[in-house]
Amino acid sequence: ASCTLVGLSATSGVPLFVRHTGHGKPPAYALIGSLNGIHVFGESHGVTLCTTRTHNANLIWKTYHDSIRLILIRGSETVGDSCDGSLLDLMFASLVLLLGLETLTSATNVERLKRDIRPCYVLLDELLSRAMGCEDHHGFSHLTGCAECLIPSEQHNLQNELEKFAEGADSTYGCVMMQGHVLCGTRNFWSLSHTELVLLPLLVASNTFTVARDLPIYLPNKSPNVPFRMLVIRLTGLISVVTLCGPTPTLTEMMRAASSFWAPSYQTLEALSSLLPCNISPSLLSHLDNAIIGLILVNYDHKKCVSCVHLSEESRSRCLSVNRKVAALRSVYRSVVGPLLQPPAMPPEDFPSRLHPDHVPLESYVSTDNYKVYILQSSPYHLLVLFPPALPIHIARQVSIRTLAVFTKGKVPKI
Amino acid sequence: MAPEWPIGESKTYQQKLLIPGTNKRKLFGILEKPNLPPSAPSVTYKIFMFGKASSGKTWTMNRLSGQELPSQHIETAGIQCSNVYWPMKIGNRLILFRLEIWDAGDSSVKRYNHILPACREGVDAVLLCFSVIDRESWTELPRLLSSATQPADRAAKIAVATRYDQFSHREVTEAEMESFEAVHGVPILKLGGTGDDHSDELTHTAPILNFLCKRLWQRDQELLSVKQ
Repeated sequence: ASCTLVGLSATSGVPLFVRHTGHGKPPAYALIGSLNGIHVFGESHGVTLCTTRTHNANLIWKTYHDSIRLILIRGSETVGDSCDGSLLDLMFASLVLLLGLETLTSATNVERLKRDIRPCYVLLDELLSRAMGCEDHHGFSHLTGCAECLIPSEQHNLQNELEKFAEGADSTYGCVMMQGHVLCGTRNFWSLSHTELVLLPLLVASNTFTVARDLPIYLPNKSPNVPFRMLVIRLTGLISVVTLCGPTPTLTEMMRAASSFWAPSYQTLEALSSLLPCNISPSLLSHLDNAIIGLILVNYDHKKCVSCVHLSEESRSRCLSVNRKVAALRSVYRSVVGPLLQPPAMPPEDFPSRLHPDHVPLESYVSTDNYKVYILQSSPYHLLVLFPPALPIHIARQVSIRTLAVFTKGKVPKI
Repeated sequence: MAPEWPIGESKTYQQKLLIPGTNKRKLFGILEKPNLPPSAPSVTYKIFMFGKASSGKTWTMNRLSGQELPSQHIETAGIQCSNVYWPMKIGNRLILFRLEIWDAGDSSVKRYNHILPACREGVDAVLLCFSVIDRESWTELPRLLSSATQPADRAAKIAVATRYDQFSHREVTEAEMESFEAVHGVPILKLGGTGDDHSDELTHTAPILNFLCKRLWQRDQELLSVKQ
């Protein structure tokens, strides 16, 4: 299996970058030229080439702002689908995130553009790894279009502290993150677009070896041409605080401010590491049925999703490893959400219309030799629950309904 | 005249830098520091990595901080800082050095004018990086030397030769490096992959950190004696 992303200038056909994960080598220059050539040929005849499938590959073309063309090549047994279009959109947005729309689309010097695109490789590689289902690249935000979150047992204190801290840094966009997951965010942070909420945590999590960063970024939807400075300060080994700032404070000032502001909260922050790897507070976990071996909960209104693939590790269902649980949930999400149930948060324009315009599907299930997944829709939520294959479906349904109630009713921290 | 106290490493306290039960160094967040006796004072030095794209700045920074070394070159975006804690013994006293290393990507430096001033402000030492397999980065070195800092900082200058293990692709000779050291009075640290032995990174990196800390301490003594 392999996955390749090719970026070209749409006007001149010059390749700008090639990123490749998986088996085999990336495509040769000549091949890239042909792939672009076919697209251009189509254009000259008034036809837009979107996707194609060969013996052993799936390809999808997408052009942005008439200036950047992206081609995604999946060389594997898995069939590409409409989610690939969203993936390309995310990849284009990654380029905008670090370069700005203006620089990206009206570049005159191709060599300079190629050099400027290089810092984006980190994000592109991460998205490719997720698309390919690489080990240790777990995460569902690229599919759900929502920020990957954690549900701690006590949210309010951290939230208030964060709002105060962000205000002190002259910023309204701020969040606290732990290992790629958002613990809490300021009110304005949640007003960011789906794309921004997926990419910013990925960008923060892409660097695990530094203690402070000052990155100029462009919000692809809110501010594609005016940069913010994203200041990331690692408070403890696992937890970082992120703020989007203007020209002040400087990184040095921010490091000092963060040290003194967050010092009193050190114990609280350290204690939060117990949330990993389940991502959900122990009190909520204790209410979940033993039969559940994995789940994803998405709240599209709040643009948050939470997932857990470390449930019931000790039980009989040792047949599925963590990686396979992630693969199962991703595969079911892609095949059911959109085609059958309400489309995901970022539907591409060429999305197929619903199967039954008169009936709104509310539940679905997938049953295979290795697992069963029950999917519930209850606006604004989607809940996908992973079960061992032997569990009867009517039981899976009851457990799933109870589980949704655990997360959405009563006095629990909600996503 | 400041007395010449002997300055040496403290092997016992180096153990406090590791994740318990392993020999990998812990990544301390800004609220954390190694568990040394509270009576040991802490000194902070700001170090700036300077050099052209792909000269090995980020690699060097990760080597010094004991973090995972990048396997392929991906250009740094914006500024990134690492804290390297290193315990030293000066005379009889245990002192915890905190090296705050600043690393900025080449294209970010060129595009945004706040980045270079932020990195250079108040810097104590500059590590000028060049790759021995890239002749151009070596010929750039004298220019880097003069443009790296404002003279007022009196920053210590140390050159770092990266990718030193790649013998077959070397484009800079030992003789050239020795001559550079003699002419400019700038020592060259030679760093390269440590092969497959990832198990004891601390032992491999200790001499480099000892050297850096001694150099920084000496500079402090020189500046103090100038003031007097």
